[in-house]
Amino acid sequence: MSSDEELVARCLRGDRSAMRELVERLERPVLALCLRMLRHRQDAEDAAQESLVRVCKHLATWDGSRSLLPWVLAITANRCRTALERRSRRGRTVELLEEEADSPPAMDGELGEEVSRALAQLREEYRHCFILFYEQELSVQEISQVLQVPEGTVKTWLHRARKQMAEHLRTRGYGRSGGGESWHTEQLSG
Amino acid sequence: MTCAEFQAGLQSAIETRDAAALARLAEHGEQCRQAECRRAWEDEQLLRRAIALWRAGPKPVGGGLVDAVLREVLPPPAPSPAIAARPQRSWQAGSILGAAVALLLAMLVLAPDAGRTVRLAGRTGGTAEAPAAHSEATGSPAGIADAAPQQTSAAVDAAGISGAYVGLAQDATSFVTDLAMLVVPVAVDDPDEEAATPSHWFQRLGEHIEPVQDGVKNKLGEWFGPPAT
Repeated sequence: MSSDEELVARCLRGDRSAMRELVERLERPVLALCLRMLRHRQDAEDAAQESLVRVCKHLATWDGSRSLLPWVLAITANRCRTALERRSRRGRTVELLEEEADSPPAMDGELGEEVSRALAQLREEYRHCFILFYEQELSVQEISQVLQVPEGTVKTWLHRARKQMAEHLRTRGYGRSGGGESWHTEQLSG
Repeated sequence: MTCAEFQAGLQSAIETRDAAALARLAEHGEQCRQAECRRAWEDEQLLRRAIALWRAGPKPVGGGLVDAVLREVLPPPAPSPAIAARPQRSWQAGSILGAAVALLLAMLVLAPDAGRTVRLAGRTGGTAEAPAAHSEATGSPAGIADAAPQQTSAAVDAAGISGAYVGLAQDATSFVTDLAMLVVPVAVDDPDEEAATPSHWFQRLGEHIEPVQDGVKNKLGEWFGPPAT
């Protein structure tokens, strides 16, 4: 697999197969971010398409000394923010993807799904920060570029996101309960 | 390691994904009597496990997203050299077809006049329509010569003039349409690719003109008989 720099250089020379490879490489992280931010399948796919088109059309403006993915995700995050603003302006009701928050406590095997539920309840900034850090594996510095906020803010958001996530998991029956001695990784209620 | 150092070190190790630093913090986190330290360490263990499971969950699949993006971004494939050479030929074909259409219109304008001339001659001479009827029966220009003795000189002149008009128009139409059919490409390599090109349009136009030409010929034949030789 060629590096991002080589791939982009081939794209800029008009190599059609390189452009396909680039879009295929970026499709998953971009769509994942859109889904996490917008929590609506159709809106996410639309935003992902807009983002990828924008990336392809503005490839020449990418600074090759920086990582490609944060630059792409910054564009994606902007498109998602625009979509969220549009959604709120229209007062549109959408069926969001998150699970019901008051569903029965999860089994240990559903711990991953519980994270998704907790994410849905986080403040938007915390959620974006958490997703970029843990799902996209961006550094704090890269997240600050993507979200266009200082690194200190990213650290604060990440810390709060983790804290609220842990609290949610504990109240849902995971981890040590209220300073007790035993782990509640087993199912607590029936 | 103090509790303050542990708290600061844990936060830093998480932010930098420093696994070695986390391992160094483990001893303090597990053995410290301070509830705050133990709680922070337990949260870290719980979140690490939960996030690993969350990340291992189903990945989003963008059905058709790649193709949709590429359709917007990439220009359509460049045509083959043979196809690329066609626009000039199409332009020539366009000019010729334009001339053909003009001639057809001229012919349609002239034909009724010629028909009136024949009918007028028939009223004055009484037998001017005979050649047309006869030529229909015989189907040959010789019919005119056979019927000539029965006509008045005015009728003969009128029939001759109208026949000449019709013959001229028919010949011109045939020439132009045949020429257009020669210029318009007959076969294409990829029908889908060619569907929207001007060449294809002209080909279709040529196909549509041919029956019109035949229809005009037949109609003129019915009205005036074969063209004068």
